[in-house]
Amino acid sequence: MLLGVLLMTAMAEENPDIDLLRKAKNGDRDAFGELFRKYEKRVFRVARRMCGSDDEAWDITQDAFIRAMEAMDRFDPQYRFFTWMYRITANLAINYSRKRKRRGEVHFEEAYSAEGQQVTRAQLADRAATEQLAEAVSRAVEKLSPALRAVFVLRVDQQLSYSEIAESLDIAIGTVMSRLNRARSRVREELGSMLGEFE
Amino acid sequence: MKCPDFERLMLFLDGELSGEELSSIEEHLDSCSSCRRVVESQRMLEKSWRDDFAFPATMEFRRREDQLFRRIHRRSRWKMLVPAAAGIIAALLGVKLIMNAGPSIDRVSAIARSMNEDHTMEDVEAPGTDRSEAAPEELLEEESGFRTMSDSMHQPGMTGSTEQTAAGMDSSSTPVRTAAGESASRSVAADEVEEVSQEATEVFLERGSGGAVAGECVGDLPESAEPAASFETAPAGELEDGSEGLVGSGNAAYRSIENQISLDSDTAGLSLAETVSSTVAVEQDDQESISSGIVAETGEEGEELQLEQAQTCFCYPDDSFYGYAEDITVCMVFDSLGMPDSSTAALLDSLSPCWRDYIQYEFKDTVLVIPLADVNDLVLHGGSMPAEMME
Repeated sequence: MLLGVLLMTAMAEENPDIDLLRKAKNGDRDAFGELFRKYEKRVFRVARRMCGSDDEAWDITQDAFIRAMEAMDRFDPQYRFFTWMYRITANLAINYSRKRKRRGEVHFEEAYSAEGQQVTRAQLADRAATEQLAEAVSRAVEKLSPALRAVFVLRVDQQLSYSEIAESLDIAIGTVMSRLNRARSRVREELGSMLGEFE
Repeated sequence: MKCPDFERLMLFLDGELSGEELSSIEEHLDSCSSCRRVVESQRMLEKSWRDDFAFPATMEFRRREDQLFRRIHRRSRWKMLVPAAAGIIAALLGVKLIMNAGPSIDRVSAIARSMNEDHTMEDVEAPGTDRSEAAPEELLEEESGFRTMSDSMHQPGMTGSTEQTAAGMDSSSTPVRTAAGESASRSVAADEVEEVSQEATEVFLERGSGGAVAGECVGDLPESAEPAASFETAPAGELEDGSEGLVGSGNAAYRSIENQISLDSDTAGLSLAETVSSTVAVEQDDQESISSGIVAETGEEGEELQLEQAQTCFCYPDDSFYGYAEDITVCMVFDSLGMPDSSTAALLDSLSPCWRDYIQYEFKDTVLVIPLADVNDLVLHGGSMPAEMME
């Protein structure tokens, strides 16, 4: 057991990101900058995709780094650092979403129906049509529950593998699969006839 | 071959298939235009969504990075003195404090005396001022560690000074002005009262915790002025955390310090960092004075200021005041939903922005009487990762 603890400690020590985190915590500005720049976009992007507003995404991004710093001693070296950051970010975003829901706030735009607006394959080559489709997908994603949205964002936006998503969200791969399937099905339902030509 | 279901097609799309499964799907897609369209349309819609994202400008990232580093660094300095600083905040801002018997009382009293002596303004009592009062004896806790008790003697929403004053700080024997409402303003023009109150209210609403900001004071404080009124009236649900707004106040007082901003932190709910941020947000004079509660010290950055009886505090321009005190036990009140009252929330906010993840809803109808150091542990190391991924 002691050996295990020592091994885990040693592994944690070897993790360069944890080292950066530790140095940053001790006031090393360069280390902080290196770490922040390494993960800022991923964290911000997930937060933004999850919550729907830049302001909240910034809050989540900053909280995620603070949280990582506070919890680094509990970092489990069996995980990869980036999945750990994803986990922190996703959890924070989910918490934000729930709080917002409790307050009855909606960051995202009004409900939107894409019914009747078919986009053809040819139109998809057109930038405006692509943007139109992207907007419709965004609205559909925003209607997903936070848990489904998290899986969808990590897979579709971040293009993580199923095992990385499972690690990031601390759920089983089977759960990843079922949630992703539900999320995708609901998004397609929301898009409705917009996908007409393809269906 | 029968068409594979949607999930299987998505596994193919995601590259999660291998071996025979993969070849059979590939084979099927070669001959089934319907399934091919499903896969293709999914690929297209996901790509269009993925590509439709614009990051903020790089400058904004750098600005946030810098801001965050300063915040963390400030916090880490803060944590080094956490028992102390939080204790002072608690004393000043209205967490219901219970002092362990002995030297700590003397120390805090000493700070108070020191501050009082430094305070050269002519004080008058502000409207609504409420004298300090000892905390209920029932809450005194001699032992270390957690103790919970019925919430009967403390209801969230109780107003300020009657519940927030340190036990043992007898206002009759010790000229304490640290306690809520004891220091009073001498001059704030009526129109400025409104202006400053409005500003503080905005800060209050924005930050989700309360606080009073007294601006530069010119003219006489009108009798009708109710400096703290605006801070008490944030409607339910307006705060970020959905709480009811500032409670436990009712006695904010203005102090006039020429050409500088003074913060009367005797309203419950304003953490030290927020206090100072608010100061910065308003204005500071060129002497880089920092005024927090009745603390009004002036110093250079990082300068060590000596207060009576070896009390040490540091003055950081645009940053924070740190004081030192220890052996403090705090009393934290949680309502039936597990929500802390504003004083408790302020203390927790000052320790960690993520405290809600650890202890929100954990303590329902509870009063925790707990050493400050343990509060820190509770907040920082209190639980496992939050937010079970529930659908």
